[in-house]
Amino acid sequence: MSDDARTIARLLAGDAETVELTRSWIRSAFEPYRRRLAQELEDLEQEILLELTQALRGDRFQRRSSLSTYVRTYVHHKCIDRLRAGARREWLSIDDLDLPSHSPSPLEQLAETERTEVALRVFEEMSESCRELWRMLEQGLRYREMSRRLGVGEGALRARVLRCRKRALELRRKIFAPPRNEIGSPTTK
Amino acid sequence: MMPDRDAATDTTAIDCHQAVEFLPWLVNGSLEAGEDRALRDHLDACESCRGELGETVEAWGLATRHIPSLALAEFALGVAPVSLDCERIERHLAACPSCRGELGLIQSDGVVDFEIARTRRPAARRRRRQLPAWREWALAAAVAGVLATGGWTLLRLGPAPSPTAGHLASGSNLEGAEPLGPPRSEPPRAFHTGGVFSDGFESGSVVVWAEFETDEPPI
Repeated sequence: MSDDARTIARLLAGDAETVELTRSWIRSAFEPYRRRLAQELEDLEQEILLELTQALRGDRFQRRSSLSTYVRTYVHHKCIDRLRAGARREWLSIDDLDLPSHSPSPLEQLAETERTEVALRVFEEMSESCRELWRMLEQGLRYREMSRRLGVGEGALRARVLRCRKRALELRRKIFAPPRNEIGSPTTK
Repeated sequence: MMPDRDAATDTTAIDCHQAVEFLPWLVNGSLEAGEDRALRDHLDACESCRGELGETVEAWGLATRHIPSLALAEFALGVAPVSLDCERIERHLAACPSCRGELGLIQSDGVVDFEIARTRRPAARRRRRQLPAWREWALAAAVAGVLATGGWTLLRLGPAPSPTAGHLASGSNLEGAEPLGPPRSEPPRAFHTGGVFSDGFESGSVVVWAEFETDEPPI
């Protein structure tokens, strides 16, 4: 049995030393977030330990890395999600927590992956000026503040944002459009 | 600018052109109370503008979606992400300062892992990442702390190949590791984030380098 397999077995058996070892991995990965998530780290530690235990019990650790790296990856995933949620000024309720026992179906995961892939492609193909406008919107800036920062009139700013909105949807349509060489093929009229 | 209030009825009427232009700020929640109310009143009465709102929300969803946090964490820690390929992630990082900042956060947790490759692997997938100067000192402090507590393999500070770069190289006393080769001299990647670079898989050893640049401001 490998070291990781032994550690997992002990953790699932509730061995105090192994639980403390796991907690130390979690806490060390918290370092970059101590300032921004200071009030939430204690709760996060509990939440992460619970979810990790459930994931290990459900054999979701695929051994693509060491166990300690897996734990760190999970900690960073949760902390980044928490920072993103805080930036959007949303508050998660207990019902919104993505607990392993409620993981999405393979079909839902595939659909979500596809949506992400398309969105990232659209983002890549956008002009930098549009990306900048969306970033400022995402930060929650008022139009007056954006207009001031960019040094453009409010009317011009709003028109630019409208063009960027249309461009984003146009790019998505382009991604989903059939390739040109299929038009006029024997199977199509 | 929103039109003047109607003093008699204390309402602010807007037309469709104005409504459509203000929709992104309705979505980002930054309209003032009066503006927000006027826009919502217009949307209640105008189906066409409700359609425009739908398109605004769709475009918002496309333009503000980022690398999923789990994929970002896996990428940062050297695990091949399942949900996205590394090239897509790298392209997005080149265009998105927010994701670069998050990547830097993950890579600055101060824990340096030495995972030993016991089988020969191709050197095809190498990722180089860079640390800005302030992270250089943070990482050096973290490493010094690790050395002080013992239980880690020896780190050997190598000479910097240029005035703005420094290297940390793993020693040859890793179990199963072979002696190090000379420092790499490839040009740095475009995006400047914290992290470590793994190389030397073809020899069965793992060499961990950190190269530092000074361009990226702290988050």
